[in-house]
Formats: sequence, structure tokens, C-alpha cells
Amino acid sequence: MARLEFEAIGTHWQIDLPAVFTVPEQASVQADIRKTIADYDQLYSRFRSDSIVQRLAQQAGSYHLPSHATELFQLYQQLYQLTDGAFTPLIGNTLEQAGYDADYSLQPKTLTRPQSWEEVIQFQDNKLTLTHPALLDFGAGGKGQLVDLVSAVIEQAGITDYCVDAGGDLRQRTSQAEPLRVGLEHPQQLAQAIGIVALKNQSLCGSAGNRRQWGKYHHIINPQTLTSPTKIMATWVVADTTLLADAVATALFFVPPEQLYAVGQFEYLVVDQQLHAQKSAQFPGELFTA
Amino acid sequence: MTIPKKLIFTAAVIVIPVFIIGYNASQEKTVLTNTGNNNTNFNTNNANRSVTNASINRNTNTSSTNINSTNTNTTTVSTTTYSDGEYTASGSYQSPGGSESIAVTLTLSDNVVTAVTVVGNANNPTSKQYQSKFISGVEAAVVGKDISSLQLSKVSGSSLTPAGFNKALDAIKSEAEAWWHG
Repeated sequence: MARLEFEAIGTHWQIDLPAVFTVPEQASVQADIRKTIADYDQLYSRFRSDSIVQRLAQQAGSYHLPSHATELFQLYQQLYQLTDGAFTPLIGNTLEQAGYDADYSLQPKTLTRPQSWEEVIQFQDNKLTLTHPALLDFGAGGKGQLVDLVSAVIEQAGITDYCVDAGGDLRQRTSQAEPLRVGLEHPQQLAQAIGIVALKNQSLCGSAGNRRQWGKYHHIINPQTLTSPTKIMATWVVADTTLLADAVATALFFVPPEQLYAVGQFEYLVVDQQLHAQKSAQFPGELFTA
Repeated sequence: MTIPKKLIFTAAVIVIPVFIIGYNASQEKTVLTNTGNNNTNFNTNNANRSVTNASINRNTNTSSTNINSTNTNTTTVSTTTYSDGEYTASGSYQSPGGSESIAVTLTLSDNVVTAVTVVGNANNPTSKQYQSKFISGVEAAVVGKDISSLQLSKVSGSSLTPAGFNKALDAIKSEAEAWWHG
């Protein structure tokens, strides 16, 4: 396996590809991967002033987005409805107010509740219109979708065995029998794992409030209470797309798994603050218990 | 290994009422409140205690009004010692959506249930949901094992943070300390 490693969109990427390529082929795939990431960053990153989302935060208006925006907005809207608005892309301004802004000031100011989806967002045929300026945040599912898009680039190059790992959100494809052994990081003891997932031809995403945490906030904020959820410590989701796994992993901080079945097939593991774990019947992992 | 009929029946009686109760909760008042977690906890806890008269009676009594099929009023449980091992019970029940079935496997050790596995064979989507709520259950608290001892290919957790974020965190922490000590 050849491993490609780099920093992008605020996290560490590891892409495993078969080692059988010629150097020019590898270079070409690498270039396509980098471009896919750069284009996506320019659309949705809150951390650069020239992104579409930052422009819409300054001024209401319309933009034509690439075709992959349809799936993103459809899933986000569905999760918005299934969580009664707790899962919302309009949380961007609130995250900034809490201190998770483009400069990482981490200094909370007064938080305000975001508006409803219907008040602000219109999405039709890949055209996004905001009727009021608002900062959209796609941190919940954007990285997952980007992993899928990078994987599409890899598959288009004719590669069938690969693993794309963006900061622990994984998508793996293999023609071999052996699954990938993935440790589930203990949210409080980062050198430990609380279990192992056997991942094969699926995506796995994890979410926890441990790393991006400052004062009384972490990177997930409930738009209704304006506080970060405290009952759930960590979630993991296995699904056929990384977009779904990533977004559902965040949604599980707000609602129980049963409330989300309509988005599609997924397996989950939810760990609460007492380290009690609840997992779906077919979750492909074993947990370590006392 | 002989499988005591009473145990199969008892296991089925413990398990099946959950679905009836859960399924009917939306339509009529039931003794147990239908939040998935409560039902799940209740049954998991029972499964993990010794098989005693008290547990089984309570279950049977609260659910007896809701079971259509099986004989619900047998409340005596013998004090027989069960051989250690695995016992499987399968039960079917009538849901508003039709007939559904579920299989329960118990592991007994010294007359104590030490493990429970449940396989749901629901067809109806609502039954699937309720069965799945029950099956997922609440595990014991998880513990950590050193990653270096586990031969892992990958680790998944919250996303690794960029250097900028870590620097910012350090900065506010030292600010906080300075304020405290200053």
C-alpha cells in the first residue's frame, strides 16, 4: 500500500492506495484528490473569507453549486426535520459567537439562536439562495461528503482497494476477505480504545466533544438551548456513504437513533457520559467491558 | 443438552411482552411507559439478574392484559437448578401489523443469566423498529485498552485538530491560569 498523508480542511488525512502504480499515475491521482479537496473547501469552509458560505454570511444572494450539493442539502434538510431543527447548517453564526470562529478566538460572546431553515434557505436544482445573510456550517457532514468525493476520484482511476481517512472518518473499499480493524478511540484516554470495528466496504465516522472543546462549549451546539450537548460523550456510525455516517454521528448528539431511521440504513454506537454504550444490533464492532 | 420447556416459555414470556407493550403504547395506556430505553433497560436488567420468581411474576402480571397468544397466567417458576449452558427460545406474537417472531438465547452459569442474545425476525417496519430498540439494549460501561496492544490498522474518534486550534486552546488555558495566579 502507498500512503498519502497531508493536512487539509483542518485535519490530518491518510489515503491508502495500492502500491502498484507508476509514478505518473500516482501523481495524477494525487493532483485530482488535492483539487477535489480545494474546490470543496472554497465552497463550504468557514475558515476562509473567499468561500461561498462566507460571502453568503455577508450578503444574501444566490450561487450555483456543483451537483454534489443536492445530496448534501437533501440530507441536511431531512436531518433538520427529523431532529426538529436541532441539526441545522444555520449554526455557523452561533459557533462563531461561541468562539469557534475563523481565528479560533475561543472567546465566547453572546449567543443568538439561528433562524429556521424555511426563513433563510432555498435550494433548487443546485442553486442555493439565502434570503437573509447567514453563516452556514457544514461541519457535521461536509467532511464525510468530501471523503466520498475523494473516493470517487480514486475509483475513477480504476482503483478498487483503498482507504480514505480524514481525521478518523474512514471510507474503505477492498476486494480482500479481511476487514479493516479500526480502534474506537476512548474519548477521555486518547491512547486507549473502547472497542474495535471490523470495517469492510463501508464508511465509519466518529464524533466526540473532547478535542474541539473550550470553556463550556464544544464543536456541537444546540440551536435551541445554545449549549453544547452534555449527555452523550461520543458516537460512531457505520453506513454505506461517509456523508451519511458523518452527519448521523452528529445528529445522535441531539436525538436517539430511532428518530433517524428515515435517512437510510446505518449502524451506530452511542457512548454516554458514564461510558455506558448503546449499539445497534448489527453494529460491526466488539466493545471492551469491565 | 436438555432444554427445559419452562425456561423457553419463561424467556419468551419475558421478551415478547416488550413488543406488545411498545406496539400498543401509542394506542392505549400501558403500565410501562414506552420510551425505548426504559423498556430496553428493564428487560436487560431482568436478564442479568438471577431467574427468580419475583422478576418473572412482575413481568408476567404487567403484561398479561396485552398478550393475545401464549398462556400468560402461569406465574410459578420452579426452583430447579439449570445446567450451565446456552438455551434458546423462540416466540411469536401478534402485532397490529401481523405475526412477528423473535429468538432469545440465554447463557446460564450457576443459575444466573450471564448473557442474552436476541435475534429479531420482524417483517413489519414498525415491528422492526421496536425489535431493534429492544435488541440494541444498554451495555455495561465500556473500558479502555491500550491501542498499542491491539494490532489496529486505524483509529477513529473525534477529528484530529489543526495546529492553529491547539495553539488557541493553549493560549486561553494560559490566560485562565494567569488570571487565577495574577
